[in-house]
Amino acid sequence: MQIIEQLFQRHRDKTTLGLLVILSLILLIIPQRAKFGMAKVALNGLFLPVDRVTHFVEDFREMREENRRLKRIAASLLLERERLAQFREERERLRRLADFKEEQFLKLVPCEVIGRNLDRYQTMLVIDKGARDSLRVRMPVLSYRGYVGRIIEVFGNSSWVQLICSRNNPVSCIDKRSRVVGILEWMHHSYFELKNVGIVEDVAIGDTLITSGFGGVVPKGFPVAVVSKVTHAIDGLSLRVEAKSYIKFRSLEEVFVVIDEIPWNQAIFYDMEDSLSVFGSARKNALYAR
Amino acid sequence: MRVSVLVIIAFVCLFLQVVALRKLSIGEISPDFALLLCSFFALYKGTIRGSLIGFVVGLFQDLFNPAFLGLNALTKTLIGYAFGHVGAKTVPERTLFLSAVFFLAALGHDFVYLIFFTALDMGNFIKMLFNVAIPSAVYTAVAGIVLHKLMLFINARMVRSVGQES
Repeated sequence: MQIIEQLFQRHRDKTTLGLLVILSLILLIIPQRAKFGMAKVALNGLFLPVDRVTHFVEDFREMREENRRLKRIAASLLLERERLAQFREERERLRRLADFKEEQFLKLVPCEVIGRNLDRYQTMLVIDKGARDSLRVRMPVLSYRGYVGRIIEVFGNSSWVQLICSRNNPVSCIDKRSRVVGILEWMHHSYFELKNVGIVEDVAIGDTLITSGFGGVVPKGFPVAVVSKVTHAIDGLSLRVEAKSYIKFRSLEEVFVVIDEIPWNQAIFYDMEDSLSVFGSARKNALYAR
Repeated sequence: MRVSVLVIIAFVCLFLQVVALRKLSIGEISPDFALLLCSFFALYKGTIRGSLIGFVVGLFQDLFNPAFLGLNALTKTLIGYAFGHVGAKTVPERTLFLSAVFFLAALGHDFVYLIFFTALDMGNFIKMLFNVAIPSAVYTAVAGIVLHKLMLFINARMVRSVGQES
């Protein structure tokens, strides 16, 4: 203790630097669980309200334009939905005839991105749904364009999502065309590497990599990346497969958390007929007459 | 430099880092206002305050990415200390000198950061160094000069108004 006191008196700046560096290194080497616990305590309730206010103001501006765009999309989707409903019935009938396993439909919770890590290497997101919305750790998170990551920490009203563009979040993938399986690991920016692919396997540039569903955490069939480069690895036994994701991880604003699976034929579609029934027949007729 | 000016600049830097960083980014390239904040404190207030501010600001950033908790704190502490020495030996008013210092600080910061972040995977390390770190360092240097000019302007106005009152 005396030595530290003497050091502090003689070399105040160097001692301060030494102590801070040691403290930083301790923080770096402590177990991940403890790191997340500390960050959770510090952040919970402190930054979330500020971020919500900021997003509320931004959202308000964009809402009108988005509303107009969504109305157009809804109109075309309604027509498509009718066709799909017929296909679904036909498909189920054929699957039953072929004695296939009943397929599942995903139950998604739409979430808004309310925060992200503040440095330029984006690996985490904060979303606005948490334990109160039935979210749990390890649940998969999707965007409009495919799989983006999984939940690693759940709070009451928010959760942290570890993106796949992080070294500690590899995902099992399958080549959509040739069904070759590998582990997709992030390299840099939007680039990934599909590992454990043998030299005789059929993987080509332009192939889409989708989630394999192995392990039961990530649902099967979600696009993750597209193969951009295939070369022979240095070991001479495997292929070095590079893939590029088309998801813009830095600008994700809405994501979907898969909270459950429900039987395909019980999945509820939005039905215009149902929603109109509350208005009575006069309104319904007026809408159809347009 | 007045402490109140540094506090104003601290708020400006924090606002830019937390709220406006996404809008100021060009793809993956973005300035590091947190680094500039600890650089300003170190330049004008010495090594101890510089490294302390660097540690606190870095830790604040790390809270949003707990997987690398301590990494920004470490790099910004070192930058704060180094800038404190630079500030003690020179008068940091020349634009060219200052921009070079900001550039080297941002590059040095990213160099240490990427060593840990890429787990010494040399291929990724070099790619990220050239594609992200160097352009971001240039951007940070430019942003640093603008903020420094703003800081000098506010300081001059404050000194003038205090002089008139007395």
